[in-house]
Amino acid sequence: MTAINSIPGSFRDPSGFLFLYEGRYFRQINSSYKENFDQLIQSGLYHRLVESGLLISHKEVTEKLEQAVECYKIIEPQFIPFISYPFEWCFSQLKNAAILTLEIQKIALEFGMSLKDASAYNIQYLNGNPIFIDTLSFEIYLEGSPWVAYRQFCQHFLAPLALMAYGDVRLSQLLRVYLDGLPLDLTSVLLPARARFRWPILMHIFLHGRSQRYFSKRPKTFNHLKINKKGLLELIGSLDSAIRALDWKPQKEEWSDYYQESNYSSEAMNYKREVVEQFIDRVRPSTLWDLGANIGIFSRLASRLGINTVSFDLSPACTEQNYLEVIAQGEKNLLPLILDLTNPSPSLGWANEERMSLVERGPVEMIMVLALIHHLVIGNNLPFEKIASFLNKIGDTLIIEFVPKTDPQVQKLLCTREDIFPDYTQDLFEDSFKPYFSIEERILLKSTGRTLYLMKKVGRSG
Amino acid sequence: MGNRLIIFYFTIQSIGGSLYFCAPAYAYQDLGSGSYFIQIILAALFGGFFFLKQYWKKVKNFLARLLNRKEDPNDGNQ
Repeated sequence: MTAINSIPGSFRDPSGFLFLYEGRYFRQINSSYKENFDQLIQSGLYHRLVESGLLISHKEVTEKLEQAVECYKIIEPQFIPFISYPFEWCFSQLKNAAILTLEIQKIALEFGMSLKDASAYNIQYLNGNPIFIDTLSFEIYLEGSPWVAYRQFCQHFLAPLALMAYGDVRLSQLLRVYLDGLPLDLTSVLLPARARFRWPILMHIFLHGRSQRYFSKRPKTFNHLKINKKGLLELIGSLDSAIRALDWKPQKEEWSDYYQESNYSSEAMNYKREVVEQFIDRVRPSTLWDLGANIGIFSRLASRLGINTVSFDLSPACTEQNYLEVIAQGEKNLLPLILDLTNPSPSLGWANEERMSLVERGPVEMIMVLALIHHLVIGNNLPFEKIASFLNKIGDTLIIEFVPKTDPQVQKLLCTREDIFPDYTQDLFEDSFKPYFSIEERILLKSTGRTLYLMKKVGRSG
Repeated sequence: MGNRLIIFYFTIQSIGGSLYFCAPAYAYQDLGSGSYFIQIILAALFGGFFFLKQYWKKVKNFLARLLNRKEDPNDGNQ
């Protein structure tokens, strides 16, 4: 019998949990959640949310897979090709996830239900759009009760977005440290003073943080106090306008320079595009990661063929630009994400198991590493062998571009530092990759002196 | 701070009427006293604004009707 494996990220909620069985993901609904689940389905809320593309759809499973006596039902949710995390999202991805959460909460209240949590981890990106994935997050709304997820919403969405908009967009990386959202007292310290003059930020972050601090030493129960539905809807409306008012726009020079300044004429660029297309077409992978994707020009060569493509870049500005293009063109197979390849997302949470590392989310059928190798070797002192070993671990086939030392982009990296890279040669590059990948084809991009390789994994890295 | 907040809460409650008393409910997320408190204050505040807005609309409509009536010579015959 095939083993049933619980997914470590879903153990906190006693309503049920996710598990993997024969390569498929299932969600067990516990008997304690029966009343809420029945209300979700029978009230028409599930149908309304799924029809609007806000909630992930599922089908009920009749196979006997239950793991414990408290099992009420097993459902199989729609498959998400790639799980991404809030600290990997750009500004607009986090903002749209926040708007989605509030929209769901407003609709849920119309149907007599309420969200019992508002974690950003309950949102994933599917077909270019954010979607709510936790079917067990809905509870029957009791007239007079507060929104139990209010604190979580402020910490997971409003606080990081305010810091990104008023402070620095890179502060979203704090979400990697604080998995249950940013502490509001910390956010208050980091926000510039001018943010206090924005009424919603003052209330939902500064005063909220003060109130948390005050009562942390004097815990009191306010359960006897009720909030009527009108007040609750107004509170959600206020959060909604606070989120919508937050804005961050990348400066054009932050993302547009690269292709103009790179060593490519439009003719050479077109040729490179043709070669990459030809390599992708030869392998026809179903999944592809483009590492160092910039604004995703080459990622789109894959995603337009229907390949599920993740477009990673270090720059929040490039990722934002890439995502805005996904929205503008209604692209379905492209997911832009922020990633520092020299320090990729680690395993996080309890027992290092709640959130997966980048490596755990692989391997992928194809990896693209275009115009990146010189940044890794010369910009980050990474030996070719280490790069080859890592790529072998995460991908089955590889399109990689070798950029010679004579290239203006490499010279730019070397102009401010001593050249301690006598081994940065194409021969050593090929020799270092050989234990990990076989070279299927190499094509010289004549006018640039760069070479594109198609490689295939040969062994497993240790 | 506590007393001031409590006075503020009761002032808001008397304006908005958005709060009343109920039994505690079970939830797996801990809202926390601080978040609970600020939420009831804000909900009451917004509820209060909404109430005042509605009331002000009623006053405006009443005044508008009153003025229209004065301007309409046939109004008294109906």
